[in-house]
Amino acid sequence: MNDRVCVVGIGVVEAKDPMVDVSHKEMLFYATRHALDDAGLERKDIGSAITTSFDFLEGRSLSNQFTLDSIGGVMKPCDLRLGEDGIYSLFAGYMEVMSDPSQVVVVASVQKASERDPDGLSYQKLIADSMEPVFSRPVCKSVPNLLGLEPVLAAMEARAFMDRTGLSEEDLAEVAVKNLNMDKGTKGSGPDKKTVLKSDMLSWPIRTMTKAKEADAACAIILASENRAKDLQNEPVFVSGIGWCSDKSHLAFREQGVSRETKWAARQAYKMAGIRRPDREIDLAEVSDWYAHRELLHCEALGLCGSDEIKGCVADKSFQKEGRLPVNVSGGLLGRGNAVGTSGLIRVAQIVRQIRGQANGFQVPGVGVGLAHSWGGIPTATAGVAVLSKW
Amino acid sequence: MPKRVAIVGVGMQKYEFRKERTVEEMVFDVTRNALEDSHLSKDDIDSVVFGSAVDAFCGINNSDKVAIDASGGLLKPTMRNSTSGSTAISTPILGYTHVASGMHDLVMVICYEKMSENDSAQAVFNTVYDEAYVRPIGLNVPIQCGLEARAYLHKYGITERQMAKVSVKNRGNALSNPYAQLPMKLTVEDVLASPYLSWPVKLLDTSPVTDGARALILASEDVARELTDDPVWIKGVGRGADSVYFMGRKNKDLGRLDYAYLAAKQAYDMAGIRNPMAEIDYAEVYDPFTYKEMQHCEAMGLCPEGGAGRMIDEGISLKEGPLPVNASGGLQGEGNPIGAGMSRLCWCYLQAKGQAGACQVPKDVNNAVANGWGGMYQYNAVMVIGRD
Amino acid sequence: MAKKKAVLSIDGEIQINYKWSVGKAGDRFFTELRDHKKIMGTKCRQCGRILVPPRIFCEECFVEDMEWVEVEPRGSLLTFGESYFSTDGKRLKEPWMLGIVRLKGSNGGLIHFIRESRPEDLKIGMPVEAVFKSKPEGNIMDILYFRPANN
Repeated sequence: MNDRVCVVGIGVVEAKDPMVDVSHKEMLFYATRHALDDAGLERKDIGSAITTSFDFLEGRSLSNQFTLDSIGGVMKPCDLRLGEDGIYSLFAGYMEVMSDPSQVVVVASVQKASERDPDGLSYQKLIADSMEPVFSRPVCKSVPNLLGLEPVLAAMEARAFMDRTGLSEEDLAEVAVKNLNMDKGTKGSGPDKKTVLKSDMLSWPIRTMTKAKEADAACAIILASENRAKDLQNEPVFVSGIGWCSDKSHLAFREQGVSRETKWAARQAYKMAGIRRPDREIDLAEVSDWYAHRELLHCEALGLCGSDEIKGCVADKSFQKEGRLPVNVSGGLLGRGNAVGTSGLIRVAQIVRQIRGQANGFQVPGVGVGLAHSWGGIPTATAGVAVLSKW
Repeated sequence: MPKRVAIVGVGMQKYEFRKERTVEEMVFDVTRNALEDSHLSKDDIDSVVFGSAVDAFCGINNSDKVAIDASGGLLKPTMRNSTSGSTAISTPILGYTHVASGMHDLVMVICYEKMSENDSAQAVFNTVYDEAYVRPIGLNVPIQCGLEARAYLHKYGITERQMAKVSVKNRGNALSNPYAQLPMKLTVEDVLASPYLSWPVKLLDTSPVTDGARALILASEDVARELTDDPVWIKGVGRGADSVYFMGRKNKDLGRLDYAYLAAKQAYDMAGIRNPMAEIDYAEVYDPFTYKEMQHCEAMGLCPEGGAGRMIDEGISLKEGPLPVNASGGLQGEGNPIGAGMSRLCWCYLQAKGQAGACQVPKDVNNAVANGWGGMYQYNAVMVIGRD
Repeated sequence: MAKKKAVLSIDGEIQINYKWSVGKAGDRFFTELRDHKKIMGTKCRQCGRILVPPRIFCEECFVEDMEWVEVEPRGSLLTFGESYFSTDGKRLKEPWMLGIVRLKGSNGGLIHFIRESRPEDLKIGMPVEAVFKSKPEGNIMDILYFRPANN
């Protein structure tokens, strides 16, 4: 296949504080407008548009329909996706371009967590409502405090992971400190390990500071074939590998403390990108650090380190910005906040910035191949992986 | 160049209200049936595409995740599509791009909907409207469709009697469909005498709420030729979407579905079909309401614009007619499990294969068209399939 | 930075009630649980795996070829987690705990409460047993919780 798919434009709207002055439709419009400007394109150039969203996160059925106007999709062939992470829109967009290489495709996602009660009861209800309704949900619905549900579910898998790998609470705190300090250039000195280990314990080993806080964000990415990208203003960034996958639906049938979904998604993406040794061939990775232990769990599943090397990688700072393989230099979900469903697409935009050399304060020199990973969150076992490259 | 894509198997299941099966069990049934139909095993399948309209119907957040194991999609790429009613066709289109792009060779497409377990499907439908401008007014589907149908009748001079004939045709056709929920032998007078939901839409102009699922297996050309000597190809796909605010569309006339014409044009252009009235042998168009079948026949080019009344009057769309439409009974006779309306496409495939049983039309079917309507009353997806 | 002025907002929620079918497999499972306090699984005749929660099909062999078997109301703790907060957000002396229990002789298990113990008493892989409700109603809460058991 001679045609390849490139990212030709990105637009991100994000903030740690609730974005009280705009609606989700408006946020997504700004993201799409930025992406079009970045690519030097207009709405008339858009061939088709794809958006993803989650109904119950938004309190809207068919929530994806509402944003059609915001992504320039009126009277266009649109593809509207529900219940998938934003990074899935990249996968669908990739296939859309490969099916018709003359097209420019916009893929987009928005999350306005602040319209619920961020990190509050609504999200916990949602987790219970994601459980299969007959065998698991009644138990989850009758816990003494629904606010504790997500931390307990996260703690269960963290415990199994730590039990297997010998990781300690200090190791998890190290991850949190790394990510919380990535943007200290703008925010002043971030917390240290002591502060993290003193933060409220939600359910051992999950603490308020080892769990990402919800945030509002929107992201749009513009894709085109290599041929089409030649005429555009940006140096293209190639989507060289994609993979997505889900593990078993019942919690009790899954192996605990591993991320098979990530491993299998990565396997597809690496095969497509021709990557045999991800630990050596990938220059930089943005992986889901919804909880601190999840960053390490995912690094393992992505093959960025061996199972027996995880503890060592924390100790020798392999995943720090100056380390062997920088992970989450953007600050990740812990540092930047987690716009559930949209963050996955933002990770892609961050890798694109790094490859273009436009990451400003976060720039890692000489990034040729970057990896973006997203995980669906508790209680799903769903992951998406994208490998992006300069050549 | 995109790869050619064929349909190589279909999984059917009876539509029923309050099917005593979970989402997972419904999905397993049709997956199994599709695998058997195509003589494949689940290990042959590269990826799965799910379609289901609204999670609030079944009350499970991300309900496709609950059905992963049952779809044979375990540890494989699975993706969910949702565009409300048009999920019926936009999901197989997403499956099409999986194969046409060269990503996968064999893709399982599964559409399901479980509507009977909530306390009011209409209450769920209210949650699809804009929360600030529309939802508080209590708009629901029958009322909205009343608005739209009135505009359509007004614009083209279509009559309630002509609408009624569509109901008689489709419910009658369903008598031959073993998977149908609501086959009925009716007269035009029966339909006209049924109570109004919202003028001009009467009870017997609507389609029943139901539970059910459908599966299709898509294959790349190389694989399809190994599996069958007579593949049914996906010849054209099209999608069109208008503004979310139906109040503020560029074309303010609700009676004409610009977005459906757009979607049909894409699909026909891709399929190289210039004159659908002559070149299309069979159609399953989306008919949640009688007038929707009429609007869609026009938008799909199966009759001239505004000519759907004459089409039904002259018997053109009857099962024995020159251009049969919904010989399976359509959504009105078979049941309308929103996302699982992919049944329309399944029936086009069965007709092309000559496997439609008692629903088989008495003519050769080389080219067939199916469409789905949904979104916020602003989305249409169209697929043209056919044999070499 | 000047504080941004919030635009107006309106309140809303989605509240819809449901009656979920437990399916064919669930029907048998909950009937046995209610009437005989038995935990039933389905055994795949092809691969021999015993599924709890039961299914009418095996997701690995992908066939509907299952037989019913009784599973012991005890098993091992795959993992567990605890919470120290009450409904009003107050810190509790005694935490509540959830665990995933792999039921003995099965390849599946249940997510459920773990009681009659403290987190420090628990470890991954330890034996636990089910405690049943005295008047079962035919749902998963007919098992009140699991507790540590002797081997």
